Amino acid sequence: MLGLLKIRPFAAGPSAAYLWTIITACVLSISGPAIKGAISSLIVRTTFAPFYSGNAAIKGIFSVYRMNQELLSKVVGLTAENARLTEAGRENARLRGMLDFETRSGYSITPGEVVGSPSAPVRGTIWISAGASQSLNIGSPVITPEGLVGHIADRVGGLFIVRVLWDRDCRVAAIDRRSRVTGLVQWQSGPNLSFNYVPIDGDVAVGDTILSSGMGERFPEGIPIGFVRSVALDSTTFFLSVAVKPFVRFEILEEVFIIQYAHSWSRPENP
Amino acid sequence: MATRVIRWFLVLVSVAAYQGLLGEYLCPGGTGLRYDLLVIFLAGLSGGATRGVLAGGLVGFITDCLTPDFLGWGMMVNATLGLAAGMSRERLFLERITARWLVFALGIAVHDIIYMLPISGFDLAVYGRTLLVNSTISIAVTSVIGTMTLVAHQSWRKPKVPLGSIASKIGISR
Repeated sequence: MLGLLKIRPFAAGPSAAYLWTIITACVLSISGPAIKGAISSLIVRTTFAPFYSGNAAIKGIFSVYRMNQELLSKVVGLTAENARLTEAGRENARLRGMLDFETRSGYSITPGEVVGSPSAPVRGTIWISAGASQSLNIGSPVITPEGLVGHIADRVGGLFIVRVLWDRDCRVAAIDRRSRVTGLVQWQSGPNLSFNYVPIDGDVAVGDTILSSGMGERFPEGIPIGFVRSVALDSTTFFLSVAVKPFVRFEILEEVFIIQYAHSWSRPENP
Repeated sequence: MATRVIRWFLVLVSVAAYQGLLGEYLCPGGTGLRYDLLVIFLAGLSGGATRGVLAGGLVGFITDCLTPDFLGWGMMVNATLGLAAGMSRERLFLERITARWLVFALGIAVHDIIYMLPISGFDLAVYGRTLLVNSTISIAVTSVIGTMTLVAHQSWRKPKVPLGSIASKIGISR
């Protein structure tokens, strides 16, 4: 007990040190909750709090990193999904337009999907699939809401080979919508078509719309073909040299319509 | 004196740092490396009973502050542990690694048996489960690490006097 009276209890040996520690511990144990709370709060705030804060900060960094990784993977997934939905939306709009066109056109038409298109800038055929339709014949005109595409040239299995206007052998009897001047639309070279056999004094102007005239009996009357891009006087012939830009972009076709072929076309009544 | 104070301060800071930064990962739910007990044991085994008591009291005090309801209880048990560790250094022949490991393991086991009783609210089911699961793993981890640390420390710093009064009395040299 003499150790208790010394100023430096730990210098008196382990017994005194232990005794002092036990007494301190007992005093702390029997002290009230308020004192315990105050002492604990002081020690925790000064000793533990900085390390707990550091731990929280480190965990926060890892948490942000992990969250960033998760968000990045979500962004990638959502970007892909967005692209898919955008494409689906475009397809939906296209199909709606085609459905509307089918109603407006008044012809008996069958939808078809392009399965092979010209790879070269100018190539005269595309391959289309029209499902299990058996009523389509060689020669049936192929159109889109934008205008005339061509006609069915052959059938191979379940697919149809369409000869488009970019083929030299695809000729269309045509008429200028404004002046009613007639001629023959035919491809000669380049991306444009040629509106042939227009007399020198024919009234054809740049911007005029060229339609099928129905005179050749291969294509019905009134299907848009393109617009006049340039008109020039060919001094070697008696005809104008008229370049027509087709309304249909043959290189990016996806869906088309095939009109049931008839030997004599009658203008359908629009609903 | 100032050096000693700084040294003890750093020891306490290291205990707080372990609790705050690493305890969640290395000793989740009180199962794993018990750094506070390791410090007390190392102080007692390497520095003697007085240092063991001092380490036990201080470490017990600051760790008790995390559970204010038991303020003083951990201090008491840990001081006893430090005293026992110091006394075992002075009275037992602890040259063999297995002997040191045994002292570590027994000390932590006795500590948990005493300390956990009021902490578990005298619920024997919780008390038994804590001892069987948490303490067993903690004893295994802490005693192995403690023994290795002690061996490394003594090989790094040769003791000026042989460990254990028995060894010095019978004249066994290392």
